[in-house]
Formats: sequence, structure tokens, C-alpha cells
Amino acid sequence: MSNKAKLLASAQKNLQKGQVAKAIRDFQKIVEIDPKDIRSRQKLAELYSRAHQLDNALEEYEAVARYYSENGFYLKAIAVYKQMQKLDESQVKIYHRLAELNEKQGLIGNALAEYRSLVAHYEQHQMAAEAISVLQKMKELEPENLNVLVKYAESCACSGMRDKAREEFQEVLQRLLEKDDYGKILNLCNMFLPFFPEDPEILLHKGDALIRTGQPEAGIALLKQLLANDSEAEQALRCLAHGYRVVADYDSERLTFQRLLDRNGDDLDLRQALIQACLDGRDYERALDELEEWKDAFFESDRIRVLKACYETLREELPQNERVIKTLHAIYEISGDGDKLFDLMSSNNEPASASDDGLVEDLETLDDDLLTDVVGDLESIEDSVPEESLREGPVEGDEPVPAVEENEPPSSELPADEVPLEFLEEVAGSDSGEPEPDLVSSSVVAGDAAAVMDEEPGREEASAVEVEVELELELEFDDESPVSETADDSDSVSADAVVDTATTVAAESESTRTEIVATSEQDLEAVAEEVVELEEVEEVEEVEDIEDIEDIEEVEDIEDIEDIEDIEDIEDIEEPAAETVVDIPARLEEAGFYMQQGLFAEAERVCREILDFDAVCVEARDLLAEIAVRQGKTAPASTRPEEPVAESLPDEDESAFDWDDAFRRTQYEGAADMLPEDAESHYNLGIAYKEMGLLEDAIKEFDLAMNHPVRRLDSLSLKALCLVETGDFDAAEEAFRLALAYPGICPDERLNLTFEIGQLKERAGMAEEALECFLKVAESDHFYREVGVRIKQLRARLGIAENDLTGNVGTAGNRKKVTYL
Amino acid sequence: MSYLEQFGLEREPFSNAPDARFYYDTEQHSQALLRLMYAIDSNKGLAVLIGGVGTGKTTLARRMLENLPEEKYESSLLVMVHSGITQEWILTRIAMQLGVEAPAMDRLTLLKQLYDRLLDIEESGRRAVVLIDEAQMLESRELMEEFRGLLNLEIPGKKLLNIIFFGLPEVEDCLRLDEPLAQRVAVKYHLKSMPVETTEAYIKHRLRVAKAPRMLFDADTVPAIHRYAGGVPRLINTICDNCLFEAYLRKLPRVNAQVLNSVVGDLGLLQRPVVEPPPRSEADDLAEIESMLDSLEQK
Ligand SMILES: Nc1ncnc2c1ncn2[C@@H]1O[C@H](COP(=O)(O)OP(=O)(O)O)[C@@H](O)[C@H]1O
Ligand SMILES: [Mg+2]
Repeated sequence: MSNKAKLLASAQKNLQKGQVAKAIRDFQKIVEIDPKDIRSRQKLAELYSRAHQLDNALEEYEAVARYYSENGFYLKAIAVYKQMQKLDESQVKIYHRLAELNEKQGLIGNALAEYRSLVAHYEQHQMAAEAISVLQKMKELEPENLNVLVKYAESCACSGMRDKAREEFQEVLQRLLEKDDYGKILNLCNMFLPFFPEDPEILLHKGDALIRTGQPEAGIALLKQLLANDSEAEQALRCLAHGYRVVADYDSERLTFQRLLDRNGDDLDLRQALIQACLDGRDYERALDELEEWKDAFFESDRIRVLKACYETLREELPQNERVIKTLHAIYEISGDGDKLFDLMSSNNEPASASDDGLVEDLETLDDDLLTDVVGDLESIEDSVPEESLREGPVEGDEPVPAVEENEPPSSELPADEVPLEFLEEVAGSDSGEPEPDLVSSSVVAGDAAAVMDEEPGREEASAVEVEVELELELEFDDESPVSETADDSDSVSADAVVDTATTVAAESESTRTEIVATSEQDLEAVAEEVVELEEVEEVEEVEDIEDIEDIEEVEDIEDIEDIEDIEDIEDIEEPAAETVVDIPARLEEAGFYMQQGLFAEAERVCREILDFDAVCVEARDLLAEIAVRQGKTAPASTRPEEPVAESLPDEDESAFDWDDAFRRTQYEGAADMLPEDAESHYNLGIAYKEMGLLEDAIKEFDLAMNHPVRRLDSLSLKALCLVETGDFDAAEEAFRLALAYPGICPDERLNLTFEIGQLKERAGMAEEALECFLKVAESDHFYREVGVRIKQLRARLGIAENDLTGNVGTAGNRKKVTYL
Repeated sequence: MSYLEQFGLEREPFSNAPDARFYYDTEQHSQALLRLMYAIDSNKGLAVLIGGVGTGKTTLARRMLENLPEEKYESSLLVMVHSGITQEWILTRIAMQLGVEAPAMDRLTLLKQLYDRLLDIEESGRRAVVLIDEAQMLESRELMEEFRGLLNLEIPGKKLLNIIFFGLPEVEDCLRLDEPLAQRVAVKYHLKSMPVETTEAYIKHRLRVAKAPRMLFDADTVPAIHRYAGGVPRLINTICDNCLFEAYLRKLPRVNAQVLNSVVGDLGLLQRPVVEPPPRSEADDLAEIESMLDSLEQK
């Protein structure tokens, strides 16, 4: 026996006797004799660590880890470093090494996780520069990770690197704008405003984001503040106009567009938006004036569709107006709407011909080709998109605007100019809440009014102006107690509503959740009507009244769900089974198919439907659990059907930048399209961890590896074995069962998994269930892993008699029938 | 046997003596049985099961006999042990087996007796079946003609007697001695050696029936046993039995590769060409079906 062998034997003996110190001495000698014996070194390190000789343990481990990484065994090296990290969490060097090694293995998520821990460490020790340089690395490692970017930018800002911070902020903002993620934009702005308090760009985006995330009044206030400093900021004006649109304050919207037009009067998009604001604000005369003035330009720029829609609206609202009839007549002639033309002529004792109108003359002189173009255009577009054009505002991504009911009587009693006055006040920087009569004549409104006068001051119009002023004064006095009335109104609305809108309005900036249970198409229409009612209520009220506006917002949300079919889908989910009998095997198959296609949401929906019908359907539950795993959720999905609508509403959590979550996200975000090599790496790392007894780390790696089919089964099984070692039998069984449910599993694997479950049950003290599993195994192979013995023992323990194989014996008694010749 | 105790067995697992308890329903055996039963139940007259030595023909013949309840079948198994028996002798034995009480010496009278007996059986709603094992021993034209004569015993539209030959592939030579008889074969099945998975299942089945508490063969020995035995059950039995005994002598808990090697060496199987028997191909099946269809057409 060699010296080394003797020492090994001695160490073995000492260990058996629990004499760690002696065993350590043996191994020290072994390592001395044979420094390249890595296994012994590792053993020595383990023993040091058992004996709480931390420094020695770390030193020995370090040698082992270095050996592994120098020889290309990165996964083993990682496992060793991980072990070291467990021993001493404060060693920065280890994190760096782990990150590098993981990166070398292509395990980016793991590398990021290490860096993330480093960042936390540096931050805790106020080592900003170091933290930033780590973040820089993280950014290079995964440039798409927004959370990292934000964190990086924030850290730069914190440590006074203003330019860098501003630059990074810009990059994040750009990405979020591309994704239309205004919730996150809002958060981003809030995050950076403390560093750049007066930054007009950040303020602008914040205002815009507020408007788009359900806090339009706050957004409007912010934008106005911004405009107070720079009243010409075009982008701010555009956002503001959009904000007014969102709160259905069309007069203010119109005035805002007017300001934009003051500088750029030829912009037809702006003009169109202004006209739309007039129409939506029921300021039909003004709309008509604008239209009449600009109709030629509209025609020339192929906006006949828009014109037609506007004039048709006007025709409804101002049935007797000759200008409307004339122009509409001309439009129909051009667009070839014979029917409508006829209707128009017969329903009105209209002027015999419109030819004396300037428009038609203009049109008649138009180039023939252009004309046919226009007509052709019309014919092709007409039926498909009738109303849409009207909503093409100058601000992109406009939310759909509540449709104004066409047969609604014009509400001439409303003070059309009340809001603009208030708006002016603020823009002018006046703090005074007192109504000042001569405000009417100040800047914008004055110009406006003058324009109105200039054109065709009809009788109605003149009186309307008077009424406006009067009402405005009244309202200013009423200011003290507007709320109660509104509250009553909205109460009655929701009580009467067929549509049940359960709303929670949080006090300040908290988001609003709306759950809709619409039962039919009619209900939607009812909602639309409610919207109109609410609008009217609102128009009487102070704009600043936050709660009211939020109420309206919610109802608008309902409208936002334009696609009726969606609603029907939701109904399907809401009450699926009950009457209809669910064909469970077929549905399971369907769910399985979706799973294979990676359509987890679909699969989940089907499973939930099955469970609604049969709450104990094991297969459906298993599938759900698998879906959860595949989607990277750690906990199995709850079996409670989720609120279908809630998903489509903005979720606060979603928009937050969760730095702490960045690691998990990056790991799982890529999970769906994990490469086989990566799965393999995670799997092997999992094994390395498992061998080192780092069970939790191993489980994490297996969880990742199972995202790719190549290692799915193995990962599940090994994860389960790790869980068994940790004593978490329930979770282990679940993992085994998931593996069993894996499609295309071969008979041998099935046998193995069933056996493992049996073994686990036996360990968990559930003898009967264990026996059941073992019997299942024995059915296919009586001697599989000596299952026969296990069965025998369990039977003995449970006092169950053994059954005999008598069925195989034939009827016998046929001996006499056999003769030998 | 002494090794039973050592391995915790209740009986010998690999005896070559026929024992219905050990019957293992392999895919092939069950297919064969299915077809032979079909031949009888649809009154096909003549069916043939051929297979190499030890492939399980006798086992099947006995299994079949046990599968033919008396209330529905008048059945009998004739095992040929000598070649060179005479027409009269075989006719007499068949008659006796089918229940002719005092068979006449005179051939014509005997045939008449047999015919009457067959009519009785037919009238009682049963079916007459004669199974002949080791049929390759019927190597004379006269005997073949005799069987053709027996198969001709019929009432209009109905055969009164079904005969099944079990034997080595040479049975086909015998049949060709009387071409009209050869053409009468309505169902023919060829038993081949077992594939390796079946061998494993077969071994485990026999161990299980013998109440083995655990697998007594190392995993790597099973494919080797299969190769040495060429997938033939009788040889598998022989090898396994010897292995257990050898392991017992060596006080081993189970059969390992060394034990197996020494056993096959002693049995002189090492020299055997250890080629895997060609896997049963689809073409084989098709050829079989074809020949069956051919013979059906000829009727
Ligand atoms: N299906 C089977 N199940 C169990 N044992 C079998 C089976 N087939 C063959 N054997 C065994 O193999 C040995 C040889 O079988 P046997 O029927 O005598 O073959 P053959 O008659 O073809 O020479 C017998 O000991 C028998 O027990
Ligand atoms: Mg035989």
C-alpha cells in the first residue's frame, strides 16, 4: 500500500469516527505528497469548512477553483466559487470571478446576478464609482435590459455624472417611447426629475405620460406650468391639446390648437384637429366657419372624406343651415353619393343649385384627373373606414375619442368659454381666482371672438356669448360646493347603468382599476350613452375636479374596448362550463397542443375551463403547474380564474422599474427562447452544484435548464431529487409528476419516475401510496430496480397478502387427450 | 434443487419441462395462437405452425389444447415420436382420439366409423380438431394422402375435421409430397426467435412465476444470454438454469458476466456464431399473408 493510500484509509477511518481534525491532518499530508490531487484538495477544503477554519477552507477551495478554471472546467469552477461565496459573502473578488466564469459559459443571467450582488455590496459601502463600473459591465452584458439601464443612469445621476446620466436617461426614454410604455415613462421622469428639476424635456414627457396613464388633469397642469416658462413650446402645446381631448375639454383643446395655428396657419392637420375640437365641443357655428374658410384647401389635399364627415355632422346639428346644405350638396356631387344627394334635395326646400357657391366653382375648375382620383379614393375608402378620419389628430397615438351622439341636441346653454378663461389665467401667471370681466377681451379669446364676429355673427351666436359670460360668473361663485352635486349625479348614473362598473378611485395619483362585466353589445351602447351624460355633467363642473374626471376616464376606458368580440370572449371565460358539458379529454388534448406550440396563455385558459367544470381534474392541474414553470413563475399558478379584463388594464407593478427584480427577469425573460447550449450549461452547472451539496443553487439551474426540451426531463428529475434531499417531498413529487406529464416520455423514463415517486412516498412515510407506485412499476417490469423486493417489504409492513400468479395456468385436465405415436 | 433456497425461489424458473404456469404470452406466440384459433373457428381444415427447435411449438400446441373447451371442441393432440408409422396406424389413433370406440381393422369400415363420429360431433354443435406435434416426422407421401383424405370428410359446405401441424420447417417438405394437400394449407405461421426485449421480459416473467424476490441476473448478462441463445426460449432456459446453478456454486447473489461466460463455454455455445437473428421484417409478414391469401383463393 502506498503512503498516499494509507493516508486515505486513515482519513476514511477518522472520518467514520467523526474525528475531523485528524482527518484534516491526513488530507494535509496527502495534498503535500500529491498537490495535483484535486479531489483530495476539495475534500480538505470541505473538512476545513466543517471545522470552521474559514481561511484555510477558502484558500484550499481557491486552489481547486483555479485549477478547474485553468483547465477549462468552468462549471466545476463556478460551483467551487459558489461554495466559497457561501462561506464568505463579503469577498468581492469571488463575485467578480463568478460573474466572469458565468459569462464565459454564456450564462448571462447568472453573471448579471453576481454583478447585481456586487452593486448592492458597493452601494452598501458607499462605493459609488465601483458600483457604476459594475453597472457599466452589466449594461455591456445585456444592453436590452432596461432595468439595468435605468439603474445605471440613476447611479450616474446620484454620483453627479450629470451628462452621462442625462444621456442614459435619453436612451431609456427613447426605448420606452418606441414601446409606448407611458407607465414606465412616467416612472422614469419621476425618478430623474429630482436630479434635473427644471428640465423641460423631462417635464414635457412627464406631462404627456400623466395624460396617457389616467391622470390627465395633473398632466395638463404640468404642461401649463411648462408653457408658462416657454409659451411657444410646440410639443408641449400638442401634448396639452391631447390632454384636453382626454378630459373632453374640447374648448380648451380648440384654443390650444388655435395657438399652434397662430404660428403655423397652413398646417391642415392642426386645422382638422381644431375643427374636430369645435365639433366635439358643440361649437358648430365656429366649426362651420372654419370649414367654409378651409374647405378648398382640404379638397386640394385629398381630405374630402374628412370634409364629408364634418359636414354630415353639421347637417345633423344645424339642419337648416344653408351653408352646410350647399357645401354638402357639392361634396355629394363630387363623391357621387347619388342617394344622399337625393335625400338632401328632397328633405330640404333647398336652393335649386349650389353652383353659385364658391366651392363648387372651385371644384369644377379642378383638374379632371385629380377629381377622378378623389372620387376613386372615396369609393374605396368610404365603406371600410367611415368615421376614423375625423380622429386623425396631429398628436400621434391619440386615444379614441368618445363619440358624440349624433342626435344629441346642441347644448347651447353651456358656457363654452369658461375653461379657456381659466386656462388663460394660468398661462398669464395670474393667481387671482376672481373673475375679471375684461378677460373676455384678452389675447386668445379676444382674437377668437373677433374672428367669430368678423364672419357671420348670427343671432344665436351673439346671445351665446352673453350667456357664456353670465354663466361663467355664476359658476365662479358656485365654486365652493360643486362636488356634492356631481357625486349625486355620478352615483345615479352608476346605479342605473346596466353595465356594472366597479371603480376604486384612489385619493391622489394611484391608478384606477376598472372591472367590467359587460353582458351584451347593447350594454356597450348604454355605456356610450353614459359617457355622454357624464360629459355633460362634467362640463358644468370645474375642470380641476379630479374625481369627476377620473370617473369619466373610466367610462372612456370602457369605450376603449372597441372590439365587441373581445367582450364576448371575456364572457366565454366568465361562465364557461355550467350548462355545457366539457369534453375533458378533448380539451386536455387541446391544452397539450397549445403547450407544444408555446401558447401558454391559451393552454392556461383551456385548463381553467376544464377545472371550472371538473375542479379536481389532475391532468389539468398538472398542466397548469407546468405552464407556470414554463412561464418562469416560481409558484404554481393558482387555479382561480383570473379577471380577464384586469389583464388588459395597466398594472402599476408592470410599469415600475424593479431593479431588484432585474436579475430574475433577465433570467426568465430569455427562458422562452433559450438555446440548447445554454440549457445544457445550466443543466451541467446544476449537476456541479448538486454534487457540491449546493442544492438550492442546483435547483435554480435546473429550473432554467428545463426551459429547453433537450434537458427538460433530466432537469425536472434532478430538481426533484434535490428537493427530496432538502426534504421537500411535496415539491419533489410535483416535479416528478411534471416530468411524467411531459409529452413523448419513453416507457423507461416513465418507469423510473414512477419508481422515484414511490421511493419518495416511502421516505415521506406514506407506505400505501408508495406501494401503489411500486406496483405500477412492477406491472411493466417486476424486477425494475428490485421493485419486487420493495413491494414484498411494503406488503409485509402493511399486512397485505401477496397475490398469486394463478391466472396463467390453463384449464389442464387435457392429458388424456395427448397421445404419442 | 439446492439453489432454490439460496435465491429465495419457490420452484425452478427455467425448467424445460412443459409447465403451463410459466407460459409467457409473447407477441409472436399470441399472434400464432390467434391465427390458429381463427383457422379452427372458421373451419379452414388445415393449418400449419412451423418454427425452429425450441422456439415454443409444443408449448403452443399444449396451450392451444387447453384453450379448446370440451363443450365446444372435440380436440386431441398427437405427438409424433417415431418416423415410419403407417397410414392405418395413424388413422386408427385419430379415430380413437376423436372418440370412435371400437375402431375396425378394415380401412373402409374405419373411415365410415370416423365419418359417423364426425357427424355426431357436428350434430352436437362441436368441432373436431386434431393437433399434430412434430409433424415433420410424417415424411411419407402415403401419410400425406391419408391426411388429404381426412380433410375431405365433409358434409355439403362444411368440413368435419380440422387439422393443425406443428413442426420444424421440414414440415413444408412433407406437405409438398402431396401437392394438393400443400395447397390446402389455409393458415401458416412461422415462429421465429424472440427479440432481445422479449428475452428480457421472458426471463423476468419466469423468475417472477418462480417467486424470485429480485432480479437474479446482472443487467448486462441479459443481452448476452439473448445472443448466445439466439433468442430461442429453450436455449434461454438452459443457459439461465445453468447460470443460476453456477452462481449458486460460486455463492454469488446473482448471475454476472463471468458466470455466464463460463456457462456458455461449458455448453459449447461460445463457438456459435453470435449473430443476431435477422429482425422479423414486414416483408416476412407480407409474404405470409400473401401465401395465405393464395391458398384461400385456391379453394
Ligand atoms: N411462450 C413461452 N412461454 C414460456 N415458456 C416457453 C414459451 N415458449 C417456449 N417456452 C419454453 O421453451 C422451451 C422450449 O419450448 P418448446 O415448446 O418445447 O419448443 P419446440 O416445441 O418449438 O421445440 C420449453 O421449455 C418452454 O417452456
Ligand atoms: Mg417440441
